Amino acid sequence: MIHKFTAMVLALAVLPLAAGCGEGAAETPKVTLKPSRPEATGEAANGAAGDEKKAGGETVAASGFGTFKGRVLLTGSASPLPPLVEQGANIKDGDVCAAQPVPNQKLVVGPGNGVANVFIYMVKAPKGGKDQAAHEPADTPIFDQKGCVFIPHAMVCRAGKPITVTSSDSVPHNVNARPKKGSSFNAVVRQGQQEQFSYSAAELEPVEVVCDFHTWMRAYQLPLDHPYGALTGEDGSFEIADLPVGEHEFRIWHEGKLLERGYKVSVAQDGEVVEKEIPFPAALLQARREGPPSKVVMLSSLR
Amino acid sequence: MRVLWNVILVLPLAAALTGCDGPNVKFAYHERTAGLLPKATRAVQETLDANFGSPQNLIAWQRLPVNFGGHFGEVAEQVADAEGSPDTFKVTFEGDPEGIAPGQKFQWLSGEYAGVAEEQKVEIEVAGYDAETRELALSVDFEEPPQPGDRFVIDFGHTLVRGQQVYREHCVHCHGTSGDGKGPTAEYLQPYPRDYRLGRFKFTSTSRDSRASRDDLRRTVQQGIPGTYMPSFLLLGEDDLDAVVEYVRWLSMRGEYELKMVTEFETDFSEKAVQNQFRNAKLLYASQLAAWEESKQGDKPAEPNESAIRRELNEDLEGVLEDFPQTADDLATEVAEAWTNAELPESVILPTEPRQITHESDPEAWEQSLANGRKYYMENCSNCHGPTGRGDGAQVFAFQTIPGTDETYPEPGLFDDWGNPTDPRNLTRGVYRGGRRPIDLYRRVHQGIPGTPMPPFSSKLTDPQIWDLVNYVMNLPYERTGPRPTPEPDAPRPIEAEKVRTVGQLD
Repeated sequence: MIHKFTAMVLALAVLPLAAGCGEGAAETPKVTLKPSRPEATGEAANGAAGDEKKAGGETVAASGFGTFKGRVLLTGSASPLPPLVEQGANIKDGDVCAAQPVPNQKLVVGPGNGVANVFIYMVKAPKGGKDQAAHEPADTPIFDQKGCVFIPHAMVCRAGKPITVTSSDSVPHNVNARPKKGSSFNAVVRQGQQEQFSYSAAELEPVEVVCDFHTWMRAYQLPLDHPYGALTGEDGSFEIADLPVGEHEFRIWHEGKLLERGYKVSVAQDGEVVEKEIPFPAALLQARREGPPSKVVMLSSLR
Repeated sequence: MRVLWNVILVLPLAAALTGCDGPNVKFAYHERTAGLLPKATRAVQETLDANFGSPQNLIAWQRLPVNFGGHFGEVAEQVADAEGSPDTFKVTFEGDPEGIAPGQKFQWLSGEYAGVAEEQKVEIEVAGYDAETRELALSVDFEEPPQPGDRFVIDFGHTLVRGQQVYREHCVHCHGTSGDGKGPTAEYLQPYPRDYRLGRFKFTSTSRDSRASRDDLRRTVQQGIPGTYMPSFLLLGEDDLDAVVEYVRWLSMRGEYELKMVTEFETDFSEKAVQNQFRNAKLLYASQLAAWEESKQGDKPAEPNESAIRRELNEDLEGVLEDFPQTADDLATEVAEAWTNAELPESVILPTEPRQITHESDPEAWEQSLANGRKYYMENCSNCHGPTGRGDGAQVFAFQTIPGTDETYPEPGLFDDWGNPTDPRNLTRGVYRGGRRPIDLYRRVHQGIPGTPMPPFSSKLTDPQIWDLVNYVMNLPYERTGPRPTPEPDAPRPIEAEKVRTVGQLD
């Protein structure tokens, strides 16, 4: 079927393939030595630029500290969420977990429409900021499990400092924390036992802590390497003190949703109290859907 | 006409094939890298390429604690040979150099000739080396003789190159060119071949948060992993084993470095971030629109625009990318430190109290140890490994939550850090993947298995208790879990008895 001439031309074309590929396959790779640090001149330029951008440690021209406080208020209406586990439900370990209803803490609204458990924090310590906050508690935070609920549901903590995990439940729970940057923690802590763990690195967003035995159990912990982070209380109020004079950006995060990436706060002079009411739109709550998540499909193959 | 047609068809084919130096292979990038915004993806890929290269053009970054291979030395004295040309000089080497042979590549590291040969595209080779007089002769002459103290390296990278050759021959078909566990054979194997890119290896002698040491990787390559498709490569020989372990470590560092960089960007500058923001904006818009239509006050709320969100994120990304070289540098230091620390003697997990009671040493104490071990087992292990050790505990039938989300996996059971389903080990088989020495089982219990749901028990059980548990586990394959069921006597059979010939009784 193939014309004789075509066959000849094809054979000729294949010849270089046979010759070239034979050599190519046996070729040893080239190894280039890349020194550990760039050359002296380049390093000085990089180093200087790097130091300038690094936060903290530099003296700032204007001196003084202010306070950023306020409340996070729910705007719009949200109907109260049904409990995750009804009282008396027929579930595993029901005598402990269903003895009282397990509240759905996706939205906790206090008196005056204040939203609790909202994280308001700076990613990096501000220039001229303090390492230690005056109001930081000295003792180790305690993370408990009671009635198949993590207590507290949300926490701001310090990277490197220990957290004590206990359990008040007779049924086993495990505390499974999977931070993005630092090392993970996973342990079963039984009633009366105590165990300590700490986050090895500060995280960009709060870490989700789950129990694998009772999958509704959820807590959020944010390890920071500075004191400029706060959690709203039951009435939605928060306070961040010792904020250096200048412009700052805060991240506002709640239950897996990023509300604001760069909420601007500016402290003009020493002693100023910046008070804000931050709206929390109830419409965002519909972000939680039932069913499996829709996947973002990358159509190009990069393999 | 036919001739012309044939030529037109075949010429492009010939053109493509004549440039055949072998396939132009590149290391693959992680799937998560593709999920970032394009500028961030490019930054990560460029940094990775600049510091690691491609399989045909390897870049040996000295920041990493990898033994790339090479004889490092410095000039001790100048020597003029018979013709008076300055290509021979006395040298001292770091360590004892073996195998310096003519033809090996020579490279200056310091002094006035450092970098010059590369610029002029000249290859300097060793012409000869006399171990007694310590005189090194090179293939090129230098105008000015090299100064004492000038550093150089001979045959740089030979370990990495040899490692790659061994890897290409024995490992790449399962573990993949980039060590991503996605070689052509991988899809047919259960469990999957290891994806090195998390920097996590399951069966180590170090703590669960540390990296694997060279000894650990060597042991795995040498002995294989029983119960899996990883065979033993004992017959490779010491040098090849060392070389392939270095190459695997290098690939693992590359993957870890890539993932660390991706993690820096992923939260804010990825497709997912754009979609999240867009979804929130749409929800807000829906409620604002409803409110506006009711009240008829003020302006109509603006409809959210995905490209506007994307543009804004890209602008912020520009600012972050300015700082990125410094960030990438810090991440490289983190990777280097983690792998260096794994080699320290203090990283090895050693029991504070040795295993006292064995089967032979004291039968009575052995029984007591087994009883204790069973108690600890039921308290700590039976939830996953099952009350009879068959790996059928309650957790195997439960749906686990996907980390970082509110959803559960589509299948029940446990999943490892690589996203693959994994089962708690069936301990009645006596096949222990990480090694069957008592110390291996001790380490599995003490530190757990990194990358899997097997947790550490170092804070819950003391060393004697762990040894009791190890004894119990090692005895499990030899233990009957109960009396054998007796066959039902004289059950009515549909077949007439005469037609059945009893050959014997099956046990």
